[in-house]
Amino acid sequence: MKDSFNPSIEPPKKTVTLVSSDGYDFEVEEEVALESQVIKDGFEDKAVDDREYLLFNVHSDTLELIIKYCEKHVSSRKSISAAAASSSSSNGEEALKEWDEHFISVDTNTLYDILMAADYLNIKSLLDLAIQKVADTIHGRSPEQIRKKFNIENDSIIDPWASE
Amino acid sequence: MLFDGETRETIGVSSNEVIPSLLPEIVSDILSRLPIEDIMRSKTVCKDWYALTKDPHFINLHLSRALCLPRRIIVEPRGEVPITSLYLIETTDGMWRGRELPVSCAQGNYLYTLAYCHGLICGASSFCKMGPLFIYNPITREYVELPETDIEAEPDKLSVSLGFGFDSIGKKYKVVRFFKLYDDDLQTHMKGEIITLGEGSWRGLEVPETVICGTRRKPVFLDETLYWITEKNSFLGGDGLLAFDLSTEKFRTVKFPSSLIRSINIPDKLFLLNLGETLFLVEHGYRHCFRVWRIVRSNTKKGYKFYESFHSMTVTYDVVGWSMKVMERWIDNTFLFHLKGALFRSKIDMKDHLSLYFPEKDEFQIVEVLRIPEFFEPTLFVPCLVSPCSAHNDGAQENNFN
Repeated sequence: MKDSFNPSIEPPKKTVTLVSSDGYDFEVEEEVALESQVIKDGFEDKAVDDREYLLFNVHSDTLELIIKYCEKHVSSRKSISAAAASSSSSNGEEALKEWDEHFISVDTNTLYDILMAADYLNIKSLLDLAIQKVADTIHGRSPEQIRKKFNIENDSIIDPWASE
Repeated sequence: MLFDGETRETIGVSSNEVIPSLLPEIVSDILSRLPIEDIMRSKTVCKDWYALTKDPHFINLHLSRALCLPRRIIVEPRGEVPITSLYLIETTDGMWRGRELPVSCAQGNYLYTLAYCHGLICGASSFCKMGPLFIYNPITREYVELPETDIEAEPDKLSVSLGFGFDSIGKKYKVVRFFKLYDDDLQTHMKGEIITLGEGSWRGLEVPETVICGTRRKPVFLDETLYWITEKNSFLGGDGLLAFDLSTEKFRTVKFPSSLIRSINIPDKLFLLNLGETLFLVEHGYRHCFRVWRIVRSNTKKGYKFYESFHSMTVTYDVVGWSMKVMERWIDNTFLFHLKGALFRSKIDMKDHLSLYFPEKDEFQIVEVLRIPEFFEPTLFVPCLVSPCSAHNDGAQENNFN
């Protein structure tokens, strides 16, 4: 599932271990983990051999998706700036947008898991993507449909558009 | 596994009450991205969402997002007094439809709209030109009445011009009112006043120029500034702009280039407009012609540049007559027109219409709008939840959930 093949001439990349709430270890490249502002904030203070993060609020299923998103964004950023440097034409931004759209087209429960994890890990672009997706899901729906879709209890008594 | 729809099961987190357990900031962020229709509908979803629509932080967030989107069209019935409903036009799937917004305002005495700023209306509750004004939000149906004027004049010997704008430095809405007084020799002089929403009385303003007044040709609010067309002689049309900075409350005058003044053919059909958040001067010509000058403030903010373009439209409708006026220009250069009293050979009834003009294709198209009055006055506005009662406050402190 690698999106691009980068012949590596650098030394092996430094990695970080992320531990999901259900106890699975995920070893990811440092720069991928640093997409999370929360990890980035405390990163320099941590010893190199202690770069393990316990993510109590993120289930392994969700973490897998989050890592996939971050990896894609790190690699896309590189290829976009490489294309810009060599002034070759690139539709990288467009392609990434399309990828994002595809990535976030998930069922409601998964969408919430991603949303909450993006908020917890403070990954701004992903949080924004998930929030926009939820907004799109609500758009044009009746209150009853919204309640059903998002499991909200009806404790409301008012009807502001009297004509509806 | 990713894209298989609704089949995936979540483990660990209960799927119940997912939204209420989201942080209020996130729910606020989600709802603030929705059109006003969705927000009004979602008020009834649950108590928390209802409370959100009264929260000043949410109201400001929604407004700041709405201001980045194209403005919406709202129409009021023309020739109907008092006004009992306004109509917000929704465009979904290529269909244009009016949503009735019943008016409840000023003891039921809503006569006409004088000016809009964002989603607030400044309207008149009396036919008297010196009469009281009110500020009204047609979405939330809240209103406040403004104090009466201290200026003394004979109402039948004057014309009025009303500007309504927002000072984003002081975060306050302000109303500016000019009276153009005619003496017995038909000489004119100007009197002006200003009020910030929340203040108890009007403050006097020295108006340095004579400007075009009346409800047909209104001032324009754009970039912290209200603009009027100045006139030396009412038969010769405009000769410049009078600009009023709403935060400093200072006037500035801008002269039109002399070539522009010379080229004006129909002074009476010269309008100053905000088209897609850019200042435009528009002259409607004979037949289906119009000229526009895009007015661009230079970087130093001192000078203005005028870019002229001329449009002669090919109209294929069997029209007998109408009075057309440019209303808006969208990002793709499409112009929106209001066609007042349009009469066609093939139809008996006279009626108002909206139409679109695509200059690149020279295509003129009348838009069918369902569920709006036959005769109407359209305006562009930004529907929002801002309360006219709290609009004069900074917002943040006044956090009443009713």
